[in-house]
Amino acid sequence: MTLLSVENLHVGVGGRDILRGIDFSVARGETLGLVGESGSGKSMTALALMRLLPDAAMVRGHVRLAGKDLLALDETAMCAVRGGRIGMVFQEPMSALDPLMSIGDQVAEGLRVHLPLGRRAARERAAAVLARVGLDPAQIAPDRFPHELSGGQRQRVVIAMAIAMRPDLLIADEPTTALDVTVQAQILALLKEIVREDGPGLLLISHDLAVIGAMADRIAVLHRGEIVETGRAPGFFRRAVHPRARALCAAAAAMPKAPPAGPVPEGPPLLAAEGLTRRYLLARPYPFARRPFRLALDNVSLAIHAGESVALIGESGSGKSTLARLLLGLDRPDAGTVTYRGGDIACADATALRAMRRDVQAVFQDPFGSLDPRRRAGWIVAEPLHGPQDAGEDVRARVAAALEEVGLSADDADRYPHAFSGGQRQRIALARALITRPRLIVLDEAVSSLDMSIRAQILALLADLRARHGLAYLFITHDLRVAEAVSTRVLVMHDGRVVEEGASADVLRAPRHPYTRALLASAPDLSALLSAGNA
Amino acid sequence: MNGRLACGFAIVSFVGFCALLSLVWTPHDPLALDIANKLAPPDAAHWLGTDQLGRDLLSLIMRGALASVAVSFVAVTLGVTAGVPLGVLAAGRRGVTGDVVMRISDFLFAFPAIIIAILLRETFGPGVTNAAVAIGLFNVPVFARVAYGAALPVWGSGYVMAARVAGRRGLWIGCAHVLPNIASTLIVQATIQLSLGVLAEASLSYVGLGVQPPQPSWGRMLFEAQTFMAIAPRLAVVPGLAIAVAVLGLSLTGEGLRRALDPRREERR
Repeated sequence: MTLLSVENLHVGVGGRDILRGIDFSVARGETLGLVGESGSGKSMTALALMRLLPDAAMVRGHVRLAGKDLLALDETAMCAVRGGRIGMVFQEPMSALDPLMSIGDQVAEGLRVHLPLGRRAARERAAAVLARVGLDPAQIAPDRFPHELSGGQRQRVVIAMAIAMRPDLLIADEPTTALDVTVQAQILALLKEIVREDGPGLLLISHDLAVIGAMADRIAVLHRGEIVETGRAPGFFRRAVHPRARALCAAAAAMPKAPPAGPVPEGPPLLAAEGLTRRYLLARPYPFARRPFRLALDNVSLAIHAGESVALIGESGSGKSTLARLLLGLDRPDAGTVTYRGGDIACADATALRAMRRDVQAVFQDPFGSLDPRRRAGWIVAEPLHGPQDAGEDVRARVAAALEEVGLSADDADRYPHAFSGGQRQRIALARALITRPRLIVLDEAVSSLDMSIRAQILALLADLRARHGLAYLFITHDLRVAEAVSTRVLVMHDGRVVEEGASADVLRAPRHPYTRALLASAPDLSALLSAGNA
Repeated sequence: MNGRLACGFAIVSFVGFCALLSLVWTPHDPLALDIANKLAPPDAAHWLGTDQLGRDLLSLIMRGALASVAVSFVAVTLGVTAGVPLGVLAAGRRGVTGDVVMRISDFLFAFPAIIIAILLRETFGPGVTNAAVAIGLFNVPVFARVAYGAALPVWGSGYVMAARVAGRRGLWIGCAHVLPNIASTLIVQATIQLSLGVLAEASLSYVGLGVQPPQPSWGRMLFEAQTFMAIAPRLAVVPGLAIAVAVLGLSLTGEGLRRALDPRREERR
């Protein structure tokens, strides 16, 4: 039975077509996975269904929920539909929740909008809904505030708000993108359970094929505002005929071949850390109390040899970014040492630090934040060139060479960062890292915020550069597939400690530590989507 | 360019032009007394009439603009050159350095310009320079705060981290990355402080702490006109209008710049 049917939906903003006549339908108890790259119009679709687009947007077509056209309703009627008949789950749970309201009240508020409930009755029902999404009132009291919860628990609150009124349709827009893999698996399981037991239709929007593959009954591929392919989920991409759908699948599947696990490197390491400990002091609980601290890094040691590619795997809060900052000399450890080619950089050994600054470069996660918006690309790329050994060098020629090496053109040097896409910006950041001809590049989640196809391109570029220049990489990531594709050796971090270390193939195929096993088990599997045709 | 900015800029240019013009030409000598012709109503020779000592009111207003413009300009320059580096430094070096700098600026904040002016007058005697310095000192913590607030997120940004990895020093990062990225905020604040400077100069001169007679100033003219409110209200209305127009022009410019330079507005479009 069709619950939601979208017919010929057009959305235009400022004369630009965002959605160009899309059609799809969702039945009760069914999960439709809407997949596409950033900018394809996924979130716009969700907002158009909820009639939450800005006033300037031109919307045409039909959106029928159980036969009633939502686009024809007035605002009052639409308010009853939002939250009542359609529930929505957003990507970033922290910004979807009011930080000044307890979680119980937030759920209760939604109930009281739609039902003639008193404050107490609404609270009681809210507590029941929170229990339904796995937040047992005995453990997580409904009078707790969002900042007291973990990311996964917050997302459960958002889901509770969405399902409080038992809506007919649930829209989840990238519900797990901001979460860790292990938490993602739990949230996806919860959504699945809700669909199975309460029977709403679920429109699941994601850029992540693995998530869609694990959840959806049917899949629709959105590309530049058009649905280019729809079909049943198992074996969807094997049957796909449209080139864009095939490209999406190829990008997801295409990871560069894991580098050969060469001989165990010998000799002194390039960069070594010994017994690193870093505490962050927290606020005093009461005046004159001893300041409590959080142990971000607890006695961590690692060594990176020349030409080696090491992956550091960990979830948010595991201390991997703190470790990166210490290794780059941006922060000082409370205990332990960082040595570059034998010289201690933490002990203000100026020569070692200066040598390290040239030889060790970094690329950070956010391609939008890591380039100064007021500087041209050429200036940005040339920034590390300021040592005495660069005097008299032709800076323009070196910038041009670095840009061409990362697949950009020399003319791009005159453009400002905003003129580039996310993938291109990450290439500029890479060119900046390469220009001093370093020996080691620290890549801190450098491909995490990129689309699948772009990610595959950047990973291929990194593999190519490493082969050409004999670079060493420290690849910090939460993504096991990325780690497997780029590294010869992996370290797994959990709660500020390295819990497992070894050759990539060994650790990722036969993990010994329970945490590594949990991590591997949580990673959604693409293979069903790609191969199993007759399931 | 938006309407506010164009309008404000036109007013500010006009006031600035009059002030500069008064250096080389005024309809009459603004200091020449002509007691016989005192309190004369406007006529062909004296477009705005004369004051209680027979001086030409238009010439006085033009020369008075010079004091306003010069004092507020010097005060803002002082505030920017001392306050902005302090704020940027405090934001870049949080911890003890930052705390010390910001507490000093809080301390300065506690003194209104008028108290500083009285202090300076008692120490160095009255005068237009001391008025400018007093207003300038008042501006220092304002610019330190604004620069601090704007610089904090810039110091924490990815591109500053990248610059540190590239081996750049703090001073270089402050000049090459932080200043350009907070410049628009500072320009807007400078315009606002200019308009406040005009007001502050007028009030200091009004109470006799600013421009000293016989040099004309808008605040001083207002003070002297009080006695003649019943006979010649024009003497108070004209300098009052001049102050209002100058402040309005600067405020419009500030608001217009804020809108024009705010990157968030650009993105929404």
